[in-house]
Amino acid sequence: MTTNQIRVTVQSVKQVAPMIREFTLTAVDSTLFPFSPGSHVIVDMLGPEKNYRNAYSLLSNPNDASEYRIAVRLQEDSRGGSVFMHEQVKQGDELLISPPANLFSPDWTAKKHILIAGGIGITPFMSYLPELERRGATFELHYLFHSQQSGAYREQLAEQYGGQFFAYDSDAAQRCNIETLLTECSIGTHIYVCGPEKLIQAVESAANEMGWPEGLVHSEEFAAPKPGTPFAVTLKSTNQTIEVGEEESLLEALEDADIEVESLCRGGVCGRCITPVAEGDIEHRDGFLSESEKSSNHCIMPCVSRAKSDRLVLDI
Amino acid sequence: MQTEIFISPSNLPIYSSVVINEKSDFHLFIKEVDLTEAFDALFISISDAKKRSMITLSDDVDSDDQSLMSKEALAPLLASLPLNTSVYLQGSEAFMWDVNSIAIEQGMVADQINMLTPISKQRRLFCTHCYTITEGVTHSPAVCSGCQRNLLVRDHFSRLHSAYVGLQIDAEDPADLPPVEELS
Repeated sequence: MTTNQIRVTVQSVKQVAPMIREFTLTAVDSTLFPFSPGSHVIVDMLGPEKNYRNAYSLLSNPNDASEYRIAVRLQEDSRGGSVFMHEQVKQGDELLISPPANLFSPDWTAKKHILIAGGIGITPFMSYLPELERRGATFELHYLFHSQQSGAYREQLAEQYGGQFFAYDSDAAQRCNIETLLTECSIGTHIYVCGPEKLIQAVESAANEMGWPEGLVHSEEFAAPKPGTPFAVTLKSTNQTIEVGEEESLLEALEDADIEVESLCRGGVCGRCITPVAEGDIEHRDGFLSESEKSSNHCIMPCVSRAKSDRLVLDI
Repeated sequence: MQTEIFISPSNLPIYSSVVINEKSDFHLFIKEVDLTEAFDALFISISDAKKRSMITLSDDVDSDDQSLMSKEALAPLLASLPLNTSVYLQGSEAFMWDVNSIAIEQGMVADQINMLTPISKQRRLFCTHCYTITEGVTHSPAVCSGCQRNLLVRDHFSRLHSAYVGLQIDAEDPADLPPVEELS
C-alpha cells in the first residue's frame, strides 16, 4: 500500500446494466475528499495470481464526500481487472483506492457544454451533471449505448434532464449523427467525449473536418494497455531484470516486482509515470510525449508503451 | 551606486506568421487605424468574398462608413459568427489584446485569433502602485501619468490588462535613476 492510498469498504454492489456493476465505497478509517467533476480513482485489486490497478471515474456527486461510487463494465476478453471486480468483489470487502485525480475537468469558460458518452463512458459525466446544474450552465448530454450490454442510468437521466438528454440505443437502431450535432454548435461551445476510442476519433475527426479551432474537444478514454510481445527490462541501478509478459504492461510488471513508479491515469495520457531509458528501442504507445521526445528514445511511459527490442534498460 | 535589478524571464507575447484556416466558414479582419500591406494581402487571399469581412474599430462611428464599428457592437457580432470563424487583428499591441479579450469573453479560443506583428513598439504601461494606465510608452523608466512615479517598464506582459507591468525604480534613493533606454 502506498502511503496516500485510502482503505474503503464496499457498501453495496448493484447491477446497473447487463454488463455494468456499480460499487458504493466508504472510507474505513479516514474521510473521503470532495472531488472535482470528471475525477477518477485507481482501484488496487489483489487477485490470487496477479494484482490489477484500474482507473475508474467517480460517479457520485462531487460535493458529497460521504461515499464514492464507481461503475465497472465487464470486459470478458480483457486482462482481468473488470472480471475481478465483477466476480470477486462482494459487499463488505475492503479495497485500496488512490485519492481522486482529474484529467477530464470541464472548461468553465464555455458558454455551452455538450457531453457525449459512449457506453461506460457515461461515468465521468455523472459527476459533471450535479455541478453543471448547480452553476446553472447550459448543457446537453448525448448518450450512445447498446441496451443489451450498457446504458446504465438512462431512465434516471431521462427523467432528471428531460429535454437536455438524448439517448441513442444501437440495439434499437438509433444512431447519433455526430456531424449534425457539431454543425449546430455556436461560438463558446465545448464538447466532452468519453467512451471507446472509435467514438472519440469520430468526434475529433468531425471537428477537425469542420475546421474547429484546437481546444474545444475534450476527451477521456480509459482503455486498458494493449498486449504485446514479451520482453525483459533491466534496472541500471541494481542490474535487476524483470520479465514483462504479453498481457501485462511494463508499469504493472515493475509494480509486481515492488518497484514503485508514480502513476496517475495509467492510459498514456497524463505523463506522471515517465521513466528514463538507458538502452533499447521503445515502442511508444502514449499520447503524452512529443514526436521529438519519442524519437530521442530517452524516456518511456511504462503504463502503455513497450520495448521494440528484446531488452530495455531503464535508467532507474 | 547603481541599483541591481533582477529581471525575471520574459513572458513577452510572440507574434508568429499567420496561417489561414482554409476550413473556416468566416474570416473576420479587425484593424485599429491604417491598413498595412500584410493585412490587406491576408484579406485578399481569402478568395470567397462572402466569407470575409474587414472592420475598423473606432470610437467615432457616426460617419457613413459601414466598416466602422464600436467596441460595444463587436461582442454581439462575434457571438453570432460560426464556431469555426477565424479572427485576424492588426494594430497596436494593446489594441489587439483588448480585442482578443472581447473575443475570449464571447467564447472564442486562442487558436482562432490571429495577431499580426504590432504596428509600433509603443507599450501600454500598468502602474503597480496606483493602477493607472499610461499609453504609448516607448522608453524606460517612464513617468506614470497617474502618480508621477518613475516606473521601470518590465518585460512582463499582462494579457488581462493588455499592458506591461511598471514599478517604481527609484523608491529607495530618488537620486538613483537609471539612464533612460528605448524599448525594443
